[in-house]
Amino acid sequence: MRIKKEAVVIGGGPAGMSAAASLAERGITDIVLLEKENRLGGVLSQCIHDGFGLVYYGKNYTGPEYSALYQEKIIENNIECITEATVLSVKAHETTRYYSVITVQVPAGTIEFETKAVILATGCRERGRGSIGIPGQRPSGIYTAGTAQAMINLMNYMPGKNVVIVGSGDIGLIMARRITLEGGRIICVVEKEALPGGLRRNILQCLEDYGIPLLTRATVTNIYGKERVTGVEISRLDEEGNIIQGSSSSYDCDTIILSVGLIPEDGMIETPHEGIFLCGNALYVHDLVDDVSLEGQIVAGQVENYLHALASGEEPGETRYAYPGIHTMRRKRGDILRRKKRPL
Amino acid sequence: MKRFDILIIGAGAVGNAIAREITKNNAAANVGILEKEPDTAFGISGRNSGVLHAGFNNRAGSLMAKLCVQGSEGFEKEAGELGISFKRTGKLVIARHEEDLPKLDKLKEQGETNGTRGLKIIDRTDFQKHNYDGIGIAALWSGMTGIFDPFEYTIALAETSAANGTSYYFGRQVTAIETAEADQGMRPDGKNGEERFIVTARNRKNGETEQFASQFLINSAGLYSDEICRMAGIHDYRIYPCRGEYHILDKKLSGSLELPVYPVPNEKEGGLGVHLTPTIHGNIMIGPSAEYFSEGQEREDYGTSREVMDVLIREGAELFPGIQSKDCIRSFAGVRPKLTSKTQGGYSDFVIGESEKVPGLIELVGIESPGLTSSIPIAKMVYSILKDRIPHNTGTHKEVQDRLKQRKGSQKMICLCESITEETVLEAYDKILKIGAIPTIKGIKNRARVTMGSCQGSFCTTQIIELLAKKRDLDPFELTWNGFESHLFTGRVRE
Repeated sequence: MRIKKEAVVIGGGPAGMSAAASLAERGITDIVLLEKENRLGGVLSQCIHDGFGLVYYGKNYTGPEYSALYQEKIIENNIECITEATVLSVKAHETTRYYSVITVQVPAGTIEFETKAVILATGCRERGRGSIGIPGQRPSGIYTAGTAQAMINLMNYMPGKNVVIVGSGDIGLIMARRITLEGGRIICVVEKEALPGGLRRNILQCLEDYGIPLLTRATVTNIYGKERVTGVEISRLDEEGNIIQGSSSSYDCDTIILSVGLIPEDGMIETPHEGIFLCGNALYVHDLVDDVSLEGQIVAGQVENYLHALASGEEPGETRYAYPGIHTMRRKRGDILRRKKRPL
Repeated sequence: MKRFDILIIGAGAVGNAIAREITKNNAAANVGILEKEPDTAFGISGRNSGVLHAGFNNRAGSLMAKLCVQGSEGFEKEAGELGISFKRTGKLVIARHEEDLPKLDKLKEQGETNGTRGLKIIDRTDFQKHNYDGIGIAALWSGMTGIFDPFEYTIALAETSAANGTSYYFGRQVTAIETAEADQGMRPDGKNGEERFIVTARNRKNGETEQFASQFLINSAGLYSDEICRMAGIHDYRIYPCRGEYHILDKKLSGSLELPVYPVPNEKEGGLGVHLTPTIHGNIMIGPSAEYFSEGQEREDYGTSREVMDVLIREGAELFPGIQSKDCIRSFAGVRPKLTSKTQGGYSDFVIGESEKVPGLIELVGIESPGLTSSIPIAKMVYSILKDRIPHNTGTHKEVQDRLKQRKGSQKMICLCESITEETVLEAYDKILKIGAIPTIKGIKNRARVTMGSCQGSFCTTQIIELLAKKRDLDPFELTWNGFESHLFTGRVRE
C-alpha cells in the first residue's frame, strides 16, 4: 500500500530540516522527512567546531548546536520523521508525470510513498583515492577527512598519530587542527593547486595558528606500507600540474587523510520527471551552512507554488525545473556559486 | 602436532577447489589447508579480470588449453552448485588494423584445435549485434567466454570445503618442510606416525611456530609455489612475478559495455593485453598491464604506479573512447606467477602432478591465467592422482547449500552505493568465522561488497565497525583492514 503525501523530503541534514520546517510553516503539513541515519543532523553532528550561523544568525554555533535549532523546529511543527530510512528509488508515477513514487528501505522492510513533490536534500559525498589516482600500496590508515572526523568526534577513536593531509579542503583543514589538539602530529597539508581550497579563515585558524606546513603545487605520488601506512612520497608540480622530476621526497607517516573535494549526491532520480526539487549540497557544494538553510526555505516556497498550481489545475510553470535552487541563487547572489580564491 | 592425510599449502581458488573436490568425494579424508593471509581470496585469486576463459588463447596440446576448455564447459553446473553468480557474456578480440586479421584467424584455429566452441570471425557491421559499438575493423567472437566474481567463487569453494570438513589454518606462513625418504614413513614423535611430511609454519597472529604432519602435501602456493618446492628439496622451478594493474570505473558507466573486449594479444607479452571487462556487478575494469618484477623485488608488490595508471586510461580509451581518469573509483594490482622470464616472454604450461623426486608431493606451479577458469579441472586432476591412495571412501558429502537462504535480519542499509544491508554485513562476518578466517574489513568487503561502491567506504567504514561492535561484540581494535598490523586506529581519543 502506498502512503500518500503532499511532499517528501529526503535527507535530514541542514538542507532537509530547513526545507521540512519551512514547508510546515507555510501550512504544508502532510509531509515526511526521511533520514538514513538513526538521528537528524547529517554531517553537522560530527562538526563539533564552531563557525556555523555567523552570517544569518550573527552567532557562532557549533555544528550540533546549529543542528539543534532546526531539530527544535521539526519538533515544534510536529513533522513526521523516519530515521534509518534509505531511499532505494524515486520514480515517476505510473499515470501522471506530476507525481513521484518513492521506495524506502527501513530495518523491517520496504515502504512506498506517493507524493506530489520530492525535495532532494541528500548532501554530498567525499571524493576518494580512486578518482584522484594516487599510486602505491593499499594499506590501512588512508581515510577521507569526513571519515576521520566521524572516528574522532563520534566514535572516540584516533585514526592516526602522524598524518599527511592531501588536499586543502575545509574538512581537511579542520581535521588538521582537530588531530593536533588531540595530540597527533600533522606532517603537512599537500595541495596540488597554487592556492588552498579551503576558506581563508580555516587556513588561518587551523593551519597557521598551529604552525602546520602547507605545501602548494605538490601532490602525493606514492604510498608505502603493506599493512599500515608507513610513509608517502610527495612531489612538486609545475604550473601545468606536471610532476617536476627530481622534486620527490619521502616522509614517514602512519595516516593519510584525503580532503580532495566533495561531489553532490544527486544521482537518485532514475527518470527525470516533474516535482523534483534539489537544495543544499545535493545541488552544489556550499561553503556555509547558512546558505544551505536559506536554500531549504527557498525550495519550500517553490514546492508551495508547485502544489498550488497542481491543486488549481494549472501548468506548474517555472517551478517544473529540477534545479530551482540554481535559478534562484544565481539571481540573488551571483558570487555564491564559485568561491574566489585569494592568495595568502 | 596436527596430523592430516592431505595438507594443502595456499587457500586460493586452486587450493580451495582441491580441498572441495577431495572432501566432496571422500568423507573420510582428513584435509588441512595452510594459508599465510588472514582470509581466502586475499592473494592473486581475487586479483584478476574475473573472466571465465574459453581456451582459445592457449597453445594447442597444452594442459592450459585442455583444463581451460574443461573449466569453461562445466561452469554453469559448478556455479549453480556453489550458488554464485555467473554470466556467459561472450567476448570480442578486436582487430584494429589489417595486419591483425591473420592473427584473428590463427586464434580461431588454435581455439578450434583446443575444442573451444562458439568461435567466429565477425566484421564491423556485426559489432552492434554483439553489443559492441567501439573501434575495430573485425573481431573474433567467443560465445563461451563469461564473467564472474573471483572473490565470490574462491570464497564459495572455501565455504563448501570447510563445511565438508576441511580444516583451515589462516595466518600460517610455511617456513620449513621436512620430508621422509621415499617409501619410508616418517616417525616424528616416535609413535606409529607414517606421515611423509612435517610442515612448520609461523602463526602470524602470535608469532608462534606450529607443526603439521601429513601423508600428502599439495603445493598450491601460487606466487610462492617455487619456494615451497625448494623447501621440499626441489629446485627445478623459478617463478617470474609479473604485475598487472587495473582500474575500476564507476557504475554510472555500467551498461555501456556488456562483454569483455580485448585487443589482439601480443605474443611476446606475458599477458592478454589491456582489455575492458564488465564485472558481474556492473562496473567496468581496465587492465591489466604486464610488468615483470626485477630480481629481488618483493613478490607481492600489489602497488600501483603513476606511469601505468596513465597508460591504462590511454589504452582503455583507445578501445572504448570517452573513458576518463576521473571515472575511476579504485585501482588495484595482481601478480602473475609466470614460469617464463621477461626475455622468454609468452606462456609456459601449468606444472601439475606428483613430484618424481619427492613422492607424495603434488606440484602445482605456474598456475597463472587461465588458472581461475581451470581451477576445478585442476582439482579433479589432483584428486585422480590421490583418490586410491587415501583412506577408504566412506561416503560423499552433500554440498551444503545455505548461500541463498531467506533474508530476515535487519534490512537497514549500511552501504548506499551498493545497497547492502546490516544483515548482509553480519552474515559476511559470520561466514568469515565459519571457515576459520580472521575478520578484516577487506574480507567483509570481498563477501558483502561494502566499500566497493563509488564512495569507497567513506560513509560505511565507520558504520561497519560500529555494527560489528554492537551486534557481534567485536572490539574495534581487533578488527583490521587486511590483517595483522593493518590497524584501523592508533588508540582512543580520550580514555
